[in-house]
Amino acid sequence: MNILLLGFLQVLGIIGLLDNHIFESDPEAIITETKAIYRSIRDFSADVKIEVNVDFVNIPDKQASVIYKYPDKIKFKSKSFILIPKKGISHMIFRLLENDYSTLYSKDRTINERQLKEIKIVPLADNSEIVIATLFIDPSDHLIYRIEATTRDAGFFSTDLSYGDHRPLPDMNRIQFEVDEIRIPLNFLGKVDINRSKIKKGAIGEVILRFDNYVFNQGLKDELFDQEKEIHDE
Amino acid sequence: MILTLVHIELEKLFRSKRSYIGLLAIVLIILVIEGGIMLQGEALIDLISENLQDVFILQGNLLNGYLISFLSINALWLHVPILVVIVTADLISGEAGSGTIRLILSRPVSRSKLILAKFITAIIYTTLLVLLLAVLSLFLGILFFGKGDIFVIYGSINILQEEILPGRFIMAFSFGVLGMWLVASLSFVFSALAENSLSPILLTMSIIILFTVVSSFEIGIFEDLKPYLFTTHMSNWRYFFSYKLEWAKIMQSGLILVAHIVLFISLTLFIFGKKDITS
Repeated sequence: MNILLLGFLQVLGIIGLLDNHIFESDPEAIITETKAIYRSIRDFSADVKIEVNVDFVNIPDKQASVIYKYPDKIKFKSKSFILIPKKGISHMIFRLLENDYSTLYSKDRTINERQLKEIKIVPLADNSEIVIATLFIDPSDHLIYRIEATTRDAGFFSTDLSYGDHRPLPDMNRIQFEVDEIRIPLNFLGKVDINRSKIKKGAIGEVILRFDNYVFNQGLKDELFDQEKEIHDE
Repeated sequence: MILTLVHIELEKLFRSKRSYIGLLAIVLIILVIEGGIMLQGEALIDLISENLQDVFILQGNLLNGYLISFLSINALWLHVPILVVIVTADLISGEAGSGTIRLILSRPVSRSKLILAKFITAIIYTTLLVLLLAVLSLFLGILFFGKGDIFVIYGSINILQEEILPGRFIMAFSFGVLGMWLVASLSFVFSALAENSLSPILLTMSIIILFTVVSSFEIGIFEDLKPYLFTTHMSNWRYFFSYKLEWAKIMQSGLILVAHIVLFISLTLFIFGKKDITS
């Protein structure tokens, strides 16, 4: 009898462990938890320091402010000239997650000593800018720590996110992207002197965004993202 | 004594209508650039930033007064030298042609002091031209287009912050002045040789155009010749628009310009000192 009971309990335990493992590896369940966490931030405003590291571009670190509304409205403002990468800011992923997609659990990966679930997201919409994305999510806090994506027009990019006191909002967003062959306009401003050795195909650019002074869920209106449209803003 | 001579030379200079051609041309150059930017500025910014727009969203005012001034300073390549030469090449030869040089030298004035007074007059006029270019381009530019960072392609794509630009422009225009003094000193050499205005103007401009064309080629022997051409160093006001100032290069180019000025003025003093005044 005791042996039977022990055997029954062992089976229950194995089923429980399996269930737990299946949940932990169920990409859809992980994504749903993660979405719920990020959805809790309906909007935010913050100060952001922008550091651009691209071989042939010299620009000092810039201070700007940013406003964001879930899932994909974002606007940067600065008194001076700023460069913001078109791809790689995490709002692109939230836009993707609000549309139809299919998920696939790939494997566990250790990044910066953190055990992360690697989940592939394939958008189902034909016109999606992102062709395939990989999210690296920590199942213990359900936060995204890395995003890798291949886009239709702008090649590959990856984004590393690190968190501080404002979880789930990142303190730092390190975006790496492909910088395709550069076409430098010649002689439009008198004589120019270009070091062409710095301009090569497949170069990697990096932009680091450091956020501070977050204020979130203040009910930002949509109009704030439309007015005072800056030149060349998309 | 020399101050009196300079005063007299300045009076003569500003009594001549020719002297105002340069000043008027500078005003016109600025107005044309301002008008062009008003009409086509957005297209220009698109052209400049086309590459970056593939990768980045660009935000901020790139179409600003400092861009106007940067476009204007490019006039130091050829436009301003022409305007300088029109006046300075005439300072000695014009008097030789009209016969007044003999009258001046019949007074107790040494030839060297006369040449130095004329050269000081030339550098005052030259400085005035560049100063007008700088002040007018910056003033009207900022008045109509405001302030902002500028985008310069020099070695790399450099975005220079608004805060550092006043200093960079002061240094670049000052370097430009040095280059124009060199143009004036070269014109003095030919002016001392000639008996009419046209020859020294044409000779000086021919040399500047020839050297500038050679400086522009980035191939073979021309590339090797570049460091030895003073026009290469005249255009190195561009160094002040690099991301980090390279003082060693700036000092080298500055010293080469000063050495040329000293050489050309010494040559002028020598030629004029030996010259028979027959007219």
